[in-house]
Formats: sequence, structure tokens, C-alpha cells
Amino acid sequence: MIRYTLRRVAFFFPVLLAASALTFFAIALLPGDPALAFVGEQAEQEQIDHFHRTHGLDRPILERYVDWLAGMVRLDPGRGYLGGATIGDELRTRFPVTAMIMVFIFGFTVFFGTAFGIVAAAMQNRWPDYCLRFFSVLGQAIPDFYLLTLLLLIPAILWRYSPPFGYVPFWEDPLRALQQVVPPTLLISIGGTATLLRVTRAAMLEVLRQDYIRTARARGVGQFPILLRHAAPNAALPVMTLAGALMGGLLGGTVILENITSLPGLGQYTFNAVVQQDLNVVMAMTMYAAFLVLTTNLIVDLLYAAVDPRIRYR
Amino acid sequence: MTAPVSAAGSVLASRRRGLASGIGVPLLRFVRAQPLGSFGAVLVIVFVLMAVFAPLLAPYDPRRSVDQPLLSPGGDHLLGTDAIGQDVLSRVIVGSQISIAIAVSVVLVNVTLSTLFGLWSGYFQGPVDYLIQRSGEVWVAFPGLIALLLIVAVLGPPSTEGGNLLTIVWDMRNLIFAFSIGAVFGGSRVVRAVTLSLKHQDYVIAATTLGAGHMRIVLRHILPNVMPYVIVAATQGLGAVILGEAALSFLGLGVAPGTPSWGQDLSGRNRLYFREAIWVALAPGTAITLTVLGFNLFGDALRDALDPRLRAGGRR
Repeated sequence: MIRYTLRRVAFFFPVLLAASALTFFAIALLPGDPALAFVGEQAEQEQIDHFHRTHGLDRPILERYVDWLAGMVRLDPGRGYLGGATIGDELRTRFPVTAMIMVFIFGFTVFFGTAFGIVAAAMQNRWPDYCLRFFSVLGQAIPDFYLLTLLLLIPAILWRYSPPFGYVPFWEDPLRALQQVVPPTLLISIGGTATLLRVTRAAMLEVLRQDYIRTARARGVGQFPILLRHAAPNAALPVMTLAGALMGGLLGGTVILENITSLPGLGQYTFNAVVQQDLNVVMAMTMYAAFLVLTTNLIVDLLYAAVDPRIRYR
Repeated sequence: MTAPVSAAGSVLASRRRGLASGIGVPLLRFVRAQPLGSFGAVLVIVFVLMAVFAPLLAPYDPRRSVDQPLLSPGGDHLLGTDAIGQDVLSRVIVGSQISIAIAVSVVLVNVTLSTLFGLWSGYFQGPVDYLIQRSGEVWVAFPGLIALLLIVAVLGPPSTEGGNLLTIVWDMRNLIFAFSIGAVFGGSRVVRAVTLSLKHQDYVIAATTLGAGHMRIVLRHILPNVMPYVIVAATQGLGAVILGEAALSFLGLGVAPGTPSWGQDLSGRNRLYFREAIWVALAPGTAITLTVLGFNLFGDALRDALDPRLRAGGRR
């Protein structure tokens, strides 16, 4: 296990480094001078030079890359082109908002996805299974921004009620925070839930067909212990591999959610940066997203190997 | 001369003979085995036809205010009018062009490049293979919408004034490029794996012994067996591509303001009036959902029908 862990971690850093190089050089080697977009096309040479000096654009590109990388590691990736707070400060104030949203979406997705997946497999080809499969096919097809739009609309039309949007830190007013965060995150998680449901169902059906399950049934083990203790742990492996992809979808989901509900989180920050062509911010946010996804994949792989010894000896 | 084929290859060969002897019988078999998939196929065909003939089908000019704003569905306007008096039905019909243009282009790019890269990596291996494989692993780190945002930030937001499908494809090339990168990495991986396994099959070795060159082996003996996998890989992600484009347009990073586009019609000015005129939201939303549903159902059915790995495994 230790050897596998070392091998897997040794693989993590080069990939992360390559991802950072891709992000940085794709943007740094772009034709066109970012200064012109921000100080104006008719700017004096002095102003342009000043902009270059402020953002270190006058230095050799490799030096800038190394500095940027060091800044990323210290959680201080410099300033956005537009001025204002440093990216590091924005990260610190906005992170709690996004973190809360992500915890809720991830929680809903994993809970409903696996629970309904197990139910659908246990009731294969009966009406709960059909309903859940219908739901999952539909859930994968409905755009999340459309669902959120309907969430705003339908209660407003039927009961003249608008779900409260906004952000209150959880520890200040837990009840209000829940009221604000549960409805939108529940809806945003439907797409991921639908995918997870399908994968869980397929994995459970695969396991439930095996001999040891039949043996357990013959021994008179009840339905619940069979599903939860005998089958679910073995079905968990293919489900876990989905976690990296779920994390990626989650980050996209926060951008959409924060855009619709005007929450001051990292998704909104990223989106605004893209609109304003503030490439310093885009670069930093992309890199943190890549870091999150790669870390998730690393954790999943290690868990996977811890549970299934065969993986370690590939 | 027919090459000796493996067990999996012979199934494919017989399937090809079946297709050659007339399209009717296999089509019927597909409909009977995959009712949901056939429903998906019908949806896909309807939306593709709608996109191709959009300018002829739309009853009004979708870019002009043609009547009072916010008229309810019925009467002169089957789906009502939007916030500035544009005909909703016309906008939904013409809006299909963008989704379909992107979906079809991504499939074409994906099939071509995945086959090319996958065959090259799998057959010759070596440094090209290494480079493609490692790049794929790095690309995985950039998740869907974030990667799209990065590319839009780098290449600039795509913008189209509409027109026919080809001009739209050209206008949306940045977005098509963005969607294709991930798809090609995934698709070429599949092709590579299949090529690797086919390379050491007896019939390929026999062909080599008979003096066939690399070109001939790859084109005549490996490519035909790889195609089903490529087609399956290319159709699988299509729903996600359409959703991604709609999300970008919804965020205002997709098409030029005013251009009929399903994602964009759900955002902007229209949002202010959804409460009084819900049809303005329902029409494009339902259109996206049905299109994605069609592509997903059709893709799943195609996978069940074509993927030899699943055919042996039975129904899930």
C-alpha cells in the first residue's frame, strides 16, 4: 500500500505542474497586450509601461511563471488587472460561501444518488425502478439553470412566494442559512444525482447477480443486510470513480448557481473575471479548480486501493 | 479476399452484411430492441430537420419585434411573444440551429481526430502515443464548464449573427474547438485500447506475414473493427455538449445578444417578465431538455446495439 501511495502521489505533482504550465502559458503567450484592454487603446506609452510594471509583465516569462507558481502555493496569486482587493483576499472572503454550497450539493448528490440507486436495483423492473429511471433520464437532460429558473418562477406564480436568496454565514443564523441554501442546491444536484443513480444501479445489479449473494439469501439473510452489508461495499468501487467527474460538475454548478442567485462566491468571481477579461483572476481560479479535481482523483484512487488490494498490483 | 476474423470481428462482419442487404430489417430490429432509443432517434431527427430548414419553418422573423410584447400562446403566435414582441415559436425553431450545429460539428471532429490519434497511438505507440496519453491526463484536471470559461477567456467569446448552419459552425469554432479537446482525448483513448488489442490478433499477424504494409493493415483490417467504438464514444457525450453550450449562452458568453438561442432566451431581459409570461421560459427550456433527452436516449441505445463488450454482457 505504501509503495502504491508513493507511486500515485509521485504521479500527482507532474500532472499538477503540467496543468499549471498549460494554464499559465496558454494565457501568457496570447497575442495582444492585456494592458491595452485595461488602460485603453489610446493610452500613453507611460501608462502602458506602468501597467506592465505593476503586473510584472515586463519581466521574462519563465521568471513570471515561477513567481506565479510560488504565489499560488502561498494562496497569494497577485492582483487582478482591474485593481481592488488582491486575489488572495477575494479568495478568503468568498471561499466560505462556495464551500457551503459545495458541501450541500455534494451531500445531496451522494446521498440521493446512492440511496435511490440501491432502491432502483433492489426493485429492478418494478414501478419504483421505472419511476427512478425515468427521473434519472430526465434529470440528465434538464439544464440546471432552467431548473433554478423554474424554482424562482413556480412558487412565485402559485403561492406568490419567492425562495429567499442571499448569503448568511451558517454560524450566524443557521435556520435562515438553511432556508437560503437548501432549495437551490437541491435542484442543482439533480443532474449529478441522476448520473450517480444510474451508475449505482448498474453496479448494484452487477453485484447482486453474484454467487455469494445467492449464498447469503439461501442462508436466510434478510433483504436489508444483503443490500447494505453484502452488496453495497462491493458496488461502491465503480461509484467512487465518478467522484472526480462529480467534483468537476460541482464547480460548474457553483458558477451557474451563484450567477442566478447573486451569491458572492468564487463561481461569481470567476465568471465576472471571464466577462471582464481579467486573465490574472481567470488563471488563478482555473488552477485552483484543477487542483481540486486532481486532489479528488488522488484521494479516490488511494481509497480505491485501500479497499481493493488488486488495484495495488497493476 | 476476406481476412480470417476473430470471434468479435465475425459478429461485426455479419452485422455489416446485414446492413448491406437492406436497411429495413436491421432498422426494424433496432426499433423492437430499443423502443426508448428509437424515440430518442426520432427526437434527434426532428431537431436536426428543424435546424436545417429553420429559415423556412419559422413563421415570423425571429430577430424582429412582430407584435405586442408578452402575448399569451395561441392565436397568431402559437407559443406567444416575448419581452420585446418577438415570436417565441420562431425563436425556438431558429435557436435549434446553434445547438445542432455545435453537436454535429463536435461529432465529426471527434470521430475524425479520435480515429486518427487513436489508431496512431495504438498501432505505432512510441513518443506520439506517450504525448497524447499524458496530455489527456492533464486535460482531465480542467472540469467542464471551467475549461469552457478558460477557453472563452483566452480565445474570446464566440459570437454569431446567425445565418445557415455552416456560417454558424464557422462563427462558433472556438466553442467547437473547446468541446472537441476533451471529447477527442476520451475518444482516442478508446480507439487506442481497441487498436492495441486488435494488433496482436491472429488475422493481423497473418496479414503482416503475407506482406501487407502498415497502411493496408490499419485501413483494411483494424479501422473497420474500430469504427463502432468511435461512433459510440462520439454520440455518448453529445447531450453534455448541448447542455454546455446552452449554459454558456445563458451566462451571456455564448452568442451575440439578440441572436435566437435557447440558452440566451432564458436569460437577460426576458427574465424580468417570466413571472407574467412563463411561456417565454418554458419554450426554450423544454426545447433544450427534449434535444438533450433525444441525444442521450439515442446514444445509450446505439451503445447497447453496437458496443461488442456490452452485447455479450446482456441487459443491465
